[in-house]
Amino acid sequence: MKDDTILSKNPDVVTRVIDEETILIPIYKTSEDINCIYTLNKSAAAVWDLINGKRSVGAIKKEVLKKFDTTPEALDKEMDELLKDLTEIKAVRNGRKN
Amino acid sequence: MEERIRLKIADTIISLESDYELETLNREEMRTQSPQRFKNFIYKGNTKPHISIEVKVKKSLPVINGLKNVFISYHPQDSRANWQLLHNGNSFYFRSLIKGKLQLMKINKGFNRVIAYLLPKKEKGSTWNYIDIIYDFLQVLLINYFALHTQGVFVHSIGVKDRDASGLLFAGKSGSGKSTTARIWHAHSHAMVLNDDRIIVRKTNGSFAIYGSPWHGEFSDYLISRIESAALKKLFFIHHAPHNTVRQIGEREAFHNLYPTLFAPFWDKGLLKNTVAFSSDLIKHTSCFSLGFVNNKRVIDFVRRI
Repeated sequence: MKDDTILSKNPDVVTRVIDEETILIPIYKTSEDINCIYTLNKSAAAVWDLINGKRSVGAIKKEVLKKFDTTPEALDKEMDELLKDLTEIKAVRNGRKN
Repeated sequence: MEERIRLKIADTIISLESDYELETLNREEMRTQSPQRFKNFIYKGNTKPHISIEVKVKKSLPVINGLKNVFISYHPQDSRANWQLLHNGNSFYFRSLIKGKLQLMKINKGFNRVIAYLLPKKEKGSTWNYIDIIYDFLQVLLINYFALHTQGVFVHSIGVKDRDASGLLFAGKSGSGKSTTARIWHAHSHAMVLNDDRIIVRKTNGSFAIYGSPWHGEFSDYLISRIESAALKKLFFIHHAPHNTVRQIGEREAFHNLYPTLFAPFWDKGLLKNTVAFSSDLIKHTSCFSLGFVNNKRVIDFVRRI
């Protein structure tokens, strides 16, 4: 995902921290869509917390690098996978939050 | 003439009133509908109802414009639509989509005032039966009502009030052994099985309690759902195993096991958030275990020794 991409959280997702683990729970419109809940590890939870519809992916990476002991290359790979997953489960979407 | 029935489910008084007569069941209908299953939930007291339902029997259901879908429930086996929840900004509407049982309920935002529109039944005229309100509507209403007030959750589970009055909750998805567990405890434990499929968990005065409900699994063949409650002491997530085994689990694992067993308001973020908060509180303050069990009565003493 490009560094200038801005993502916003899907408002139809409930977030809960249980015993330091961040869980995402989507709401559903039909019983056939009911699937599962999603769990974020610490660094993924940090990324999730930073997504606010205004901050770019590049800005999020800079903040995460300050908090976690990792390399920019490793972070790029992890974030690409995470953001791809979050987009697939519709927890985030492209675009600025109004 | 006003026909009134009051129900008490998980300490919640529900009043059903109507200017239309209650249906009289013939012998065959008594056998197939088994109204005696619900007799424990009929309330004769004077406590003011928490929820009021006015029942009207009409030749046709009202047409409401501007309704938007909130949620549609499909039968898990045949994928036919069972019921639908809609709203028009002012009220919610529950629509039963089952052939032969079309209904429309208008519900206020507090989920405590309902107008239920039913169609006349063949050869029964403009009469009504409270069982038609219990399935499926009343469960959906209570799910929303409890969630709105963060007061409780429905869990796909068995509830047992043991000999020492302690409450044990055995939760699990379909196929995990709930019916088997209910039969074992009913037959061999001298404890009270509250229900073998849907238990309501509520929190009152800071403590969690489990309640029987009128919605049952298979055990209506040999048991009747109980209105009683018990202070919840232990929560077990069950599965079949070659030996009886138990492992205490932490909050994270407990939540991942609990959530799939909830009948939650998946359709509304605010209500779902309340339900998740309640569930999180529940597992934080209840001893939770993963229980593998063998299909015989030895599991009873095994559980009692935990």
